[in-house]
Parts: sequence; structure tokens; C-alpha cells
Amino acid sequence: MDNGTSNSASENETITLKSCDGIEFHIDARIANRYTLLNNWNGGESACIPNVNGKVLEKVLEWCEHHINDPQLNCGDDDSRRRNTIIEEWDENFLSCDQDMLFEIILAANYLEIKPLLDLGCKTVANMMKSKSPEEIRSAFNIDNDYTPEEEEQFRKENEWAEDY
Amino acid sequence: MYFIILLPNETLKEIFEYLKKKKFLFSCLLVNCNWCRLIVPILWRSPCFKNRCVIKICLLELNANKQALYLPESNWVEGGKALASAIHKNSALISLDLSYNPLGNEVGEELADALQMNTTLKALNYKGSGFNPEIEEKLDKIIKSSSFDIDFDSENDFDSENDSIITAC
Repeated sequence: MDNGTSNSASENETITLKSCDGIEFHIDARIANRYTLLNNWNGGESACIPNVNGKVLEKVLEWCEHHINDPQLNCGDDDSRRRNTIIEEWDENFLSCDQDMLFEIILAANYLEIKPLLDLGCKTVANMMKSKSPEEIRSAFNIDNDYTPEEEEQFRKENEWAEDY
Repeated sequence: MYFIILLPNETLKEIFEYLKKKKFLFSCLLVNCNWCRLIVPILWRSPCFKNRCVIKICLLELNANKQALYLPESNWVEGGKALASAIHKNSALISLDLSYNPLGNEVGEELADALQMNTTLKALNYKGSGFNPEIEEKLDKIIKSSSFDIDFDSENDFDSENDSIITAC
């Protein structure tokens, strides 16, 4: 993994990224170095990102640029990452987009292995679920209930001890 | 559209880990079958069966007639044994709160045997379970290897303490 010290790209270097629908973005090469963003980037001047369209890639790159000077986190430690549930104001505004875009950003961050952005997306969705009833969650995210009434009742009873904690 | 259903299970699990409070997980678990499958292992890492919850859960397995037969003070031995066998199979168990369930010594033995096999448990609260000192010693030994200290008495702290145990493991 790139730890920043072996980062040979200087501030002025740019590379060209191409989304799956052919839109080109000129980005600071440090972004490509920082994340494993470009698994098939061979150090050349351009690279293709299959699976991510231009609209989403633009958002993802906007986030990467804003956070370009953040300290590198040790991504190996899942639990210490999860402990931090605070969302910075800029990030909160950044992700207050429509739901489809939010989930597309999460999918892209997952695909491009941009861990901090993936975490941010997960935290945001988790916050949207908190303090809602199952029915409210279903309607907020348009999810079908595929339980039979018997199953639902069974799981409710087996787990209702959790309701008070 | 509605992309939440497109998220891979790995990502959904990550989202549920951020919910922290068990009551939030409980709501999500009832949303649909897939979410239930993902959440049950998270929720049952640290179950809280305080104040006679054990018997309620174990009685679920019985039909209505038998439940009526066992209630109100019911058959703690059968309930406790069912619990011991369930615990034996739960390889993700990190903390367990059984306080104030009058389980008695017979169940205590079964629990101690079941927990012998467990390598993940870091905290156990058996206050008010009616175990004799030998059983208590056995149970203490099982979790002794852990350096974590949990104060089960301060109810409000339990959840946050619990989070830090999970994160420290």
C-alpha cells in the first residue's frame, strides 16, 4: 500500500481518467497514488475506470481533491475506524445528495477501494436508519418486506430483548 | 433505481456496524430476510438477557399450551439448558449479560461446560443467577484471560463499554 513517502508524483503532475461513458477528468496525480484507485494504472498519463460513470466519478474525484492533504489512515483496523462516528460538515454537505447518487458513490468507493469515502457513506446511511421503525426504514429506502407474518413474528420475539439497549 | 438493494452484503454489514445501539439493529433486522441474516450475528455477539429474559426467549420454542404450563415461574432448567446449547454454537459471542435470571446450579454447570469451548467471550454477568461458589469460580476462570473489565452495574454504560470491547478485540 502506498504510504505517502514513496509518492513520487509532484503537485503539478496530472493524469487523465476516463469514466465508463467516456468522460475525461484531469486529476492531480497524487490522488491516483494515494488510493489504489487505479489498479490498472501503469504510471502512464491516462487510465480508464470501467463501472463508474462520469457523473459519479466527478463526485468521487471532488471528494478526493478536497481530502488530498488528509493524513493517511491505517485502513487495516476496522474497529477503530468504526468507533469514529463523527461526520465533518463539508462531508455532510457533500453527501446530502439524492439517495441514488449516495448509493452510487458508495458503490464506486467500494469498487475503487477508497476506504475513507466508503466509511463516510456507510456512516451517512446508518444515520438515516437510526431511530426509525422497520416500516419507516422500508419506506425510506423502498425495500420490500419478504417475511411471512409468522417469520416476522418469530424474529421479533427472538430478538426483542435488544429493544431496550 | 433504489440502489440500497444493489449494495453488496459486505457494505450493508459495514453500515449496520455503525448503528451501534441494539435497538437500531433490532429495527433493521425486521426490515427483510436478507438484513436479518446479516444482523443476527452482529446482535448476538453481545446479547443482554437481563431480568428474566432468558426464559422468555427459550419458551418461544414451545407451543402455547406448554408455555402456559411453564409460566409464570416456569422451567428454568430446560430454558437454561437450551440457552447453554445455543451459546455453545455461537462462535461470535463477546459479552453475555444473564443477570437476574434465577437459573440455578444445574444450568450453571451446563453453561460453564458450554462456555469452556468458547474462545471469544470477554465478559459475563451472572449476578442474581443463584449459582454456587464453585460454578462462579469456573465461570470466572473462563473469562479470566481477558484483561477487560466491565461494569455491568451501570446500565447506561453497558452499551458503550461493549462497543469498546468489540473494538479492542
